[in-house]
Amino acid sequence: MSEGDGVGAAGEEHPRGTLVIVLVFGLIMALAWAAVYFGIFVPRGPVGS
Amino acid sequence: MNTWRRLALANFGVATGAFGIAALMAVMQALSRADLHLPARTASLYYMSVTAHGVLMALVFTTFFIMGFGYVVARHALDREVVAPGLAWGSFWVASAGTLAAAAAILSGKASVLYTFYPPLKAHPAFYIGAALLIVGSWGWSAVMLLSYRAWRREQPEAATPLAMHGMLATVIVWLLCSVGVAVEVVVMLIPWSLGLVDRVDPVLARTLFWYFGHPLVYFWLLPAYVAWYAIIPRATGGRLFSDRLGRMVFVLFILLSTPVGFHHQFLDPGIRAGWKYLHSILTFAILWPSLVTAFTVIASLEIAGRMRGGRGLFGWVRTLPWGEPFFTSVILAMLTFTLGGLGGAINASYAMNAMIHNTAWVQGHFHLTVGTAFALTAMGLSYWLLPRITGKALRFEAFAQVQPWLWFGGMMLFSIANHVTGLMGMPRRVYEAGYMGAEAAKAWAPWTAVSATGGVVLFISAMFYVLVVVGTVLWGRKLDAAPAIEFAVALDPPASRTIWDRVGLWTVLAVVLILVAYAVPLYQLLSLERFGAPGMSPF
Amino acid sequence: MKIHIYEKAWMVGSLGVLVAFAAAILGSAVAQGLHPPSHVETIDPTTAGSDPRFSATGVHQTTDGAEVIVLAQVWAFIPAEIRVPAGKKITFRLTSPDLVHGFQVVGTNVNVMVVPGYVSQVTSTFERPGEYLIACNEYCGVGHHMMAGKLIVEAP
Repeated sequence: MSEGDGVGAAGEEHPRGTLVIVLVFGLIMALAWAAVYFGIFVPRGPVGS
Repeated sequence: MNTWRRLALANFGVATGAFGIAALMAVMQALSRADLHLPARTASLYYMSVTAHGVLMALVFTTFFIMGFGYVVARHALDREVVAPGLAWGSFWVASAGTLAAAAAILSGKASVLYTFYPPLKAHPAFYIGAALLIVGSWGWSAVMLLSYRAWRREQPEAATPLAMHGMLATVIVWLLCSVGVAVEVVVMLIPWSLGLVDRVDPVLARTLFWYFGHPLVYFWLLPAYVAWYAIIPRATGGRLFSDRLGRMVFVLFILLSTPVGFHHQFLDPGIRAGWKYLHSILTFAILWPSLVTAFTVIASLEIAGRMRGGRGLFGWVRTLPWGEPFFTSVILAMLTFTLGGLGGAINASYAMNAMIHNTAWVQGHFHLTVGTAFALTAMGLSYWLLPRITGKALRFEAFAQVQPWLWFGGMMLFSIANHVTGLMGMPRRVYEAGYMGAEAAKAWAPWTAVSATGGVVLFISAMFYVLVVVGTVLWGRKLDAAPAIEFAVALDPPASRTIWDRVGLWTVLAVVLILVAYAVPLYQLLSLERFGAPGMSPF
Repeated sequence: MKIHIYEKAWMVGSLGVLVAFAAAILGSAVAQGLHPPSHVETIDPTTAGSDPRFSATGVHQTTDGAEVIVLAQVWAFIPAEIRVPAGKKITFRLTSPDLVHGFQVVGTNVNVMVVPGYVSQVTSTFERPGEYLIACNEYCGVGHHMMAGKLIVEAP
């Protein structure tokens, strides 16, 4: 088996499905965080010591 | 029966017993929060049950399961008998005795201080002594793990540590580094104070020592689940581990980063300066990264398995995975749930934004996804896989085992989503009821509380199915001709020899350096203040 | 160490997202003063009620708003009802003579731990007039769920 390109015994070459799944998750993570931070947290008002 | 079998079963036995009692406590809470007028329903009983549930689930079920699993990994990944069985058994009995002492204190109503036991809330001394014994027992287990590794290493000086054992070593190292904190809190501060030998304790110092321990505690729970995801599931699904090297790196990153992050549980505490809180916030984002890397590696490993089983196209491999097997469905649902827990965790870690959700219902919504599902559902699925291999008996009541993970997932979605929502709406956590004398804000929480309670009941049914399968298998499982083998995943990039990641001594030293960077100065600053301490009380 | 190009892309991309989070937080801390309450001041809890800093609980007008002195104890906030003007800087100073309590103004970002032996301080501005529930969100015994107060924000 050669390293680095994900080639294994059954002929799968690159984990395309995995890449799509994690990229979608990463996008959701970034958008959800921003939505909550700027959409819920900040509008609730300033806070400090 | 071999030593490792008996050790594993004994520890799993205590874990399952604790789980069953804790599940009973939980359904009592769910029904109470649903406002059902049950006999004996009181605030006092409620807070006792919250304490029992938290301690038994988060401190007993977890620790004993992980100790049992550790013996299985040590025996099979290293292909050697577990060393120092006397120490292993002594540790089991000390930890069990501690558990009984603490449980007795809790169930008799003398220790309703919740699993965080923040002073100045004061419990009966047996609670703290029991906790100390549980920790000491776990140290004995840790020593057996390390001694077993050292014996293997002496025979194989140049070999790469088998990945499953590398993961268990990371678990043990994180545990030893962090449990020192809670041991100091309990032994130096709380036991003398609860015995009346010392008049006052400083709550911020106690909280700081507790959360020095309490955050890495979640990695003590998570890393064994990662051992299952990296080193067992790819084999169990007929695939390959996508990257051994990154798996090794991930476990090392957890050794480095698990502990210097505890202030993210103390963002709103007085007595700790904002700059240190920001540092811990950044380090918490850093520790999110190895889990993101894990997501790719484990999903890619599943993709390999699915394609080897005939799946085609972008997502066809998902359908060909072994959905009929309870170990697989448990792990896949645990992984999926963990992604939600990670999203919430990123919000919790975000410095000032923590004020939006601190001590609200959001918090229990969050940690039931992480310890309550990523760990617990993996553990339950893993025990379905392990029991036939340990006992040589087939799983009993297998239909219940197949349904159980789905019930857990469904119930958990109801429970967790409802609590995240009410948390954002400001409902406090750890409350007997949340009517707040008819306040407008509280009225909005009520329908969601009903959803949460429903989730709790579904989870209880799932928990009882689990206990039924475990007890049924051990007592009445059909003897198999041969116990199936315990085999670990084969990687696409199996290491030819010891890698830099295997040098756990080095990584431990660096972990200590990071801990000093994150804690030495703020702890010094805290100890330099004129501190008065509080005498304590037990209003329960 | 050979890493698949897809995994490498994800490792870099996801790290970038985390760096962006850290930067956004730092930016709003510096630019908007968004910090969690992190006041450092100690006090003897057993004499807190008679300490000059806490002997006069309630709302005290200041040049740019108000200072609110609060005692949190089992199971009430003193005072239970707090009236402040909208749109002005309000600083809460709190301590407890007995146990750790939480002080959360539901619907706002005012949320702080009140710990015996320490003085907590949190500052905010309430733009919307109205009545807000104040809840204790740190378990403090059998009366925890009944420990509440009321913040009334009055229009200018």
